[in-house]
Amino acid sequence: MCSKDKVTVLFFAQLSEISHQTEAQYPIEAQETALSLYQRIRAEYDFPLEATQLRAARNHAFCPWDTVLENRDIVAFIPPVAGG
Amino acid sequence: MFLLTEKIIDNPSLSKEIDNKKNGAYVFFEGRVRNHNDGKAVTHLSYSVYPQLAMRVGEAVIAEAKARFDVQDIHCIHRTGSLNIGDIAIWIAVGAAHRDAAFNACRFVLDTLKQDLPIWKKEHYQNAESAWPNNQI
Repeated sequence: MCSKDKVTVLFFAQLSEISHQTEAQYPIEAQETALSLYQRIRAEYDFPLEATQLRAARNHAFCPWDTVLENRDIVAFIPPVAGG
Repeated sequence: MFLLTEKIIDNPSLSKEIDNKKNGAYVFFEGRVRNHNDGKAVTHLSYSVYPQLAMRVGEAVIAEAKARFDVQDIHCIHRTGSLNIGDIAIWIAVGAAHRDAAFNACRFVLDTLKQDLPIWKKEHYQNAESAWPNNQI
């Protein structure tokens, strides 16, 4: 872990609409988890959805919220789904 | 086989693809866009998708269904993009030797995809602001 580590965050559905973007780079702190990153981004954009309403994904697979992120990871926060 | 498509789902030609002489039972499911939801008149809807994760989830659900039920073939296609009333949003075909396995596998695939597939629906209404409804599991 170094101070220049970054992840790419993908935004979908409401989160994309509110933040006006589909992806963005975010620097990560040491031991940054999917949850701590979401809380930071939620505060930045005032997302109405709490983490308990979402699922996290890392590198195109669902992951637990306490997953520690690594440099160059691709992270997504999955709002409640509506397929089918 | 799991696919995502922005094109209109052409179910008759798809049905031919899963023809298999080992199968004595086929179950087909079509989920279509209806013109109302929650008391509001729906004009059309837009599906957005996380394609990499959706493909992974879709293929895993089909593999799980094949492991759980005695079926030969499962094909599933989900539309993305802009859909009109009456369009097929999801199409599932299951081929099996016998009907019980085919019905059960089809229901399992549909229910699991509705729960896990990273696809979102924006509904557009005649007299109300658009909304992002989610599946009630």
